Amino acid sequence: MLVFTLRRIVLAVPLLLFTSFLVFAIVTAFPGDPCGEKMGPRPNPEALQTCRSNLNLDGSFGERYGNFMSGLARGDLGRDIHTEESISDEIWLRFPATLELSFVALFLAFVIGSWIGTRSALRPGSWIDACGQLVSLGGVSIPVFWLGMLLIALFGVKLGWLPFSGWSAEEVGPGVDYATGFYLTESLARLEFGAFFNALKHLLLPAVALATIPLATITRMTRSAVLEEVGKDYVTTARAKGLSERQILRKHVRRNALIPVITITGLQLGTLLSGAVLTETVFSWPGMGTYMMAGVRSRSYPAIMGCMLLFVVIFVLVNLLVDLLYHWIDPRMRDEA
Amino acid sequence: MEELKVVDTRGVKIWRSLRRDKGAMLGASFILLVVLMAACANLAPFGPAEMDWDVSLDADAPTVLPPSAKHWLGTDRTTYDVFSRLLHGARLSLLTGLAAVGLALLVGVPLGALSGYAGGRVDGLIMRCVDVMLAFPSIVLAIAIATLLDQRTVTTVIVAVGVVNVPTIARQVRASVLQVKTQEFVLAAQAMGLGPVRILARHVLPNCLAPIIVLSTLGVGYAILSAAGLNFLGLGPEPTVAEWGVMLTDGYSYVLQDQQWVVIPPGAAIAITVLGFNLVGDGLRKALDPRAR
Repeated sequence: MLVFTLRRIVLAVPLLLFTSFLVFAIVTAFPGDPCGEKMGPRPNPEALQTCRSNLNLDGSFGERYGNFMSGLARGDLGRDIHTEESISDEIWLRFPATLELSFVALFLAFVIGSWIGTRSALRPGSWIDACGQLVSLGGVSIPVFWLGMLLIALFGVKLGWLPFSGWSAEEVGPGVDYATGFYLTESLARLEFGAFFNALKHLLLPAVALATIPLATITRMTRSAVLEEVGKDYVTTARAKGLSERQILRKHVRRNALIPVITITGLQLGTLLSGAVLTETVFSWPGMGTYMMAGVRSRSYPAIMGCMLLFVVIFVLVNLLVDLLYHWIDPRMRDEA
Repeated sequence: MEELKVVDTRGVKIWRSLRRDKGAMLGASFILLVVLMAACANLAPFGPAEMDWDVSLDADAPTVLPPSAKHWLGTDRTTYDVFSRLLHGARLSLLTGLAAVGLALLVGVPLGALSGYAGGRVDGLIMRCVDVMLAFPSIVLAIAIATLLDQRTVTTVIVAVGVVNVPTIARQVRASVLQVKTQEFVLAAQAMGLGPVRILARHVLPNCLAPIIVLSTLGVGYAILSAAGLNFLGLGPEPTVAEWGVMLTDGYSYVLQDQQWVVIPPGAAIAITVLGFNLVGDGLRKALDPRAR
């Protein structure tokens, strides 16, 4: 197990190196001259030089890659072309918003998806099974940004029940002095329940929209996993022992069936973090996705690079963790390693 | 002649299985509806970017009109007719989806076939490249490629979505080729002295078709969805172009003013098209691979 874990971790290193090189190469190849555009037709040569060196635009490809990697090793991703703020600071400001949104969405998707999936497996062909199939088809077919608009139109504008924008300390918990950007988690940890429910209200619409992406996969997976388990011999044994159906489901079937479902849920986190790009844009959510898109629009190349890198690192690490978790949970997988 | 007959009976079998599949038939009718919309776009009451001068010249009238007898689905803020744009958008969506998957197949099939058939270092190199590409969340990679191309056109979106789908196709083709190449008829072809290209094209790839067809059908739906996303993010064509994702971006501000008719039709159109391809793709999977049932 230790050998397997170490081997996986060692294998992830070259993958991360290659991907970071690809990120650098793609962003370096972006057309246009952001500094020239910023300075106008008659730039001050000194300011132009500062701008170019801030953006790591001088020197050969090799030199620039060297600068990029040495900056990366120090956790320095460069400065924004317009605001001159440090990119890593800006990203850490926005990352909590994306992370909380993704986790709440994943939680919603897991709770709802595993419930619908279990029910539809226990009664194939029933109305709840039909519902489950509708959910899993809709989840992969409905554009998440359109769903977001519909949610805003219905619950935000027409009924006026829920807020659909504004995720800032002042809006979420006025009077609370937040130390981090994790407004939901922090207000819960500090037992500020008013602020916690207010934060939850702000999170609900974007989280529901985002949850539809993993919901489809989770529902489908749970259904097939439970269907497979209820046909097994140990269920018959449990029934013969006189256990109630409820106990069989809770103590036996669900525990076995949920192992693959949990892994799939984990794998969805990477997809979710990036799926957040669209959801965040609809709900003007101040997270990584909107920051990356702002970078694309304002041609702030270091910002795009930083966001892409973070997305890739998370994606690779989540896949690695899920892989390790799977081998740890299921001993049958270990022999193959 | 005899070979033709064999293909025919297999085709008939698949067709029968599809006909019995209610989901696949529903999906096929959705696709047919969208194809009809695309075909009838020229019969639409207005052009894709034709202003309604009666409205736009009247300074007091609001430009965003609710559905009426003249404008069946209302107008957007430039007084374009939403219904006509919806029909024209069907063409672009189908074109984008098919072209993106076509591009992914054009690059992915040879890469995957080469990787699976050659094995060794070539395989290692190609698969490492595939791993690197799959390490990117797909939309992030698509945004980067679209920014790289730096042109807000339909072609940009097609290329971005197409390239992102290459690794998935290549991986599937490689897996199928690995399975098929160990079979006796491939060995026989090698013994007869046929070259690798001929063996791949005539003997190996035709036997890998089933998973590629399924993946491509599902891929068209996914490509249309991704393309709509890129267009929504403002990386696609200009607002005058009648594209569903673009229409959604344009109508978004009106959602906040409680005027939803601009965004409901294009969003529903995307959902129906993607649902159609997903349903048919699932049906094809069941028809082509008896184990999936």
